[in-house]
Amino acid sequence: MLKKKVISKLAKIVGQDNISTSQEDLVCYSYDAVNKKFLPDAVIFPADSGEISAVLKLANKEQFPVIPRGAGTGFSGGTLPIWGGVVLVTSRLNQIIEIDTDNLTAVVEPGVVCGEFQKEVEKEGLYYPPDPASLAFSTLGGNVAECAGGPHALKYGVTRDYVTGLEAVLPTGEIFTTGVKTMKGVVGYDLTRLIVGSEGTLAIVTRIYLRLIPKPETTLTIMAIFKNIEAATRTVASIIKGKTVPSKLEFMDQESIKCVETYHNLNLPSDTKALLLIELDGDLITVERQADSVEEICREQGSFRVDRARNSQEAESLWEVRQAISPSLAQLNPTKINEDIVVPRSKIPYIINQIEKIKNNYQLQIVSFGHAGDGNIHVNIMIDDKIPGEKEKADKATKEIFQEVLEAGGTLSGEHGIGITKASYLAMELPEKEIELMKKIKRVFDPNEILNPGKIFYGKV
Amino acid sequence: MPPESKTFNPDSTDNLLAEASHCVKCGRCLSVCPVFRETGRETEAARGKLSLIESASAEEIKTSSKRLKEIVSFCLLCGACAEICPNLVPGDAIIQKARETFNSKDNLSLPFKLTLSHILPFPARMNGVHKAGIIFHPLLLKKVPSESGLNWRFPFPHDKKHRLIPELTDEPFLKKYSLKKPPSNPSAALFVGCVSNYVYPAIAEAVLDILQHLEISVFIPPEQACCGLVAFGTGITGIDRKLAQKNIAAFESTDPIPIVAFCSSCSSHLKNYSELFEEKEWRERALKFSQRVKDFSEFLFDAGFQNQSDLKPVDSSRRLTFHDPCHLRRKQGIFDQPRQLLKSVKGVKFVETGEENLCCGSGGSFNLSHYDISLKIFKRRLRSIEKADVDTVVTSCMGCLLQFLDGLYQENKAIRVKHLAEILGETFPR
Repeated sequence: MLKKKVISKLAKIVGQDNISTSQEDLVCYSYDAVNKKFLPDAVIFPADSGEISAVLKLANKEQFPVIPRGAGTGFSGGTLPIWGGVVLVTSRLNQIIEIDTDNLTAVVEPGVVCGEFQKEVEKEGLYYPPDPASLAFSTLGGNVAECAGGPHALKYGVTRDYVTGLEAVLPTGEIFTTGVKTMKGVVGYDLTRLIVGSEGTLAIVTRIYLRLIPKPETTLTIMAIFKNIEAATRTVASIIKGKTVPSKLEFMDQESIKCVETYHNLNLPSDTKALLLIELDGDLITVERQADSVEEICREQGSFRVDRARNSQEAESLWEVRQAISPSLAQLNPTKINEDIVVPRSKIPYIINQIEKIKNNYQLQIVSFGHAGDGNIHVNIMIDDKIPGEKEKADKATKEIFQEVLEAGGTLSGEHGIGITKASYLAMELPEKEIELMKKIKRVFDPNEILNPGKIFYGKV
Repeated sequence: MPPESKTFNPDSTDNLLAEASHCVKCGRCLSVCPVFRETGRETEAARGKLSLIESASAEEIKTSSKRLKEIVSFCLLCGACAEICPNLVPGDAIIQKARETFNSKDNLSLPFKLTLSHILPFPARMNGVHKAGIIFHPLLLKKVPSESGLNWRFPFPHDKKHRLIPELTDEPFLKKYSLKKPPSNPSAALFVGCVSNYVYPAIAEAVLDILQHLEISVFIPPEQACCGLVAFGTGITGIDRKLAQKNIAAFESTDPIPIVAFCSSCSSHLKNYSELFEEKEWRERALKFSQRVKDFSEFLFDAGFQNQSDLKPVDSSRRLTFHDPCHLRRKQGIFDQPRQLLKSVKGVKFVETGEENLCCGSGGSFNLSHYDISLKIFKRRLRSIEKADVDTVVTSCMGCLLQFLDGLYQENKAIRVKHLAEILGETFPR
């Protein structure tokens, strides 16, 4: 609990209209897309880096946690106030400060919504490729904190590949900058890359310097459907091996198709067991040529229907369907254990096969979909945690899946981050020395452990 | 080890409120909620409200809490959240139910509450208020909130906002028409609605002319009342049912001819009457009634208005767009019909503004309790209209119409707003 005195000091910093301590408001800032609930003691809406700095100085003095929050749409609990404290919302820092069409760069505040930023740069013929499924509502600040990725990662990389520099506030309150506004820069350690993906544990980002690329001339979307899952995953491996790099290459299994179809009917044959959604982009001639070759590979590998979207609306609606999969899985069971493993792309058929085995062994509902093209699969164990023993069973299955992933040369999380949901598995992947080094870094940035504590690492650092 | 989270296990009852727990907090509703888009506060979006409703249902939050009622009142009930929800959680319906359950009428101003509970259900009293309104209009009604549903005719002397208040008509439409002899063999029954009855009888007259032009004889039951949508949306239990019962009874003698309503908010609510009753007798009567209801655009389209070849061109300089009322597009799934009707009018240029699913910000009583935000939402809608260089906005909901009238006036724009019937009514000699 925060002392009354502290609350009034916070109110003085951000203004009475920009702080809430009523239970009702706190409930509305107690969750993120993990759908767990932890009440903060207060929620504040600072206006700028100056106010954020003052809040963090106070937090060090009074020893209370500060949890930065964008739109609260993360999948690893990064913005949950697990130990109470103050949720600091960036919604008022929502300006696109500059889109520089001479240098193909932009400067934004963290509260800008990713999809809205994309629309603005596309008006200038430019392109910001990172495209998490939440892009229509998640903020760039949140995307930076989690190093969000999406289908475009396959060809264009993830958030970190577009961030050249940052302005941020240290947990101790000092405002500082990292990186460059240029295309290159090697002066000193790369603190920008350290902060991108640090899950709001090292600093609160207040300004983001981004690089942009020219907007591809055209895009084309293909949907290929399969009667068995192996044929679909083999197709992914063949497309990659065939040296065509689609701009998106997404996979859905039967359960995910079923769930999302209640939201948007795709009119698929009832024996559809898997589906690939593929997007190609570039100039018209190349795209056509690549589309022909991709379609041929799909058929060769056993797709029984390959459709091209006839226009941009049709393509858009297919991608909207893709974005709706994750939340729609709640139809199967109320609790989702959401993993986002990555394996080398040649290992996708293998890992999907192993997951099938684990699913059958444990008699669990496990749904897989995701960015097959870059080896990043969203594996969702859907349970009803009110049933005794379900949670334990799911935890065991998770651990087995992780073991398989690591043995295949993969990693536990491609884009969701560790947060609280995967903190207990960190040591499975990282050697003790590396974890110790990371904890030391955390202590250098945040000696009093007030900024988003309890995340990534298990308990206190 | 991170501490255990608390997860809710509300008993799964048939209760609509329990459906709040089906929200998985993904946040998609944030991208479409018109109120959230203006304020950026989670309490405004469906995700926040549903989470709060869940907490209140689990008695973790006092249901008598003032802040709870305030938060629940801060919603347009536009249905954008429900439309985009991957889990088909009916956000707007749950929030409406919460208003009813938590009794958030406390947030309404006293005169508005009095109107709802003591005047609205009684047509004779409504006419009395109307008379008083005419007498006091120049003095008091200048500051009356001009809004959908019913309140535009009631003085709110405490309201400091300078809203544009439409003049009241000298003689309510229903009163004038109750004197006329009903046709012996009508093929449609007309539901008039409050705004047209008391403020814009010309729209009702245009509707009548259009129907007559199509040789459809129309009966106007004199006993009809307000549709009850504003009372329903505000969560004032009982009044909406009383109004529904009055209307069901008023139209029963004309069964089975279609009931045509030309305010899309009315038609949407009339179509939902059966949902209001649990008791079997009224539920069945309501269902019979609801199945007969047609929105004006739907009815005209089915009657083939758009197929006439001899429609007179309307002022050819006009660039028209159709503003989709939430209650037409989302709640009735009607999108194409008004467009086809407008496109059949020679001479006018029909354009899309590209943001058809943007709410105008009216939202029944929302505009009364949250005028400033309501205007901001309107401005966002207006931007897309200005970009398309439109000179006339056509719509078919009286709430939208009044919102546009006031909003365009506040923004000092030369854009006109017209009811669909007004435009179509110009296409043949009257």
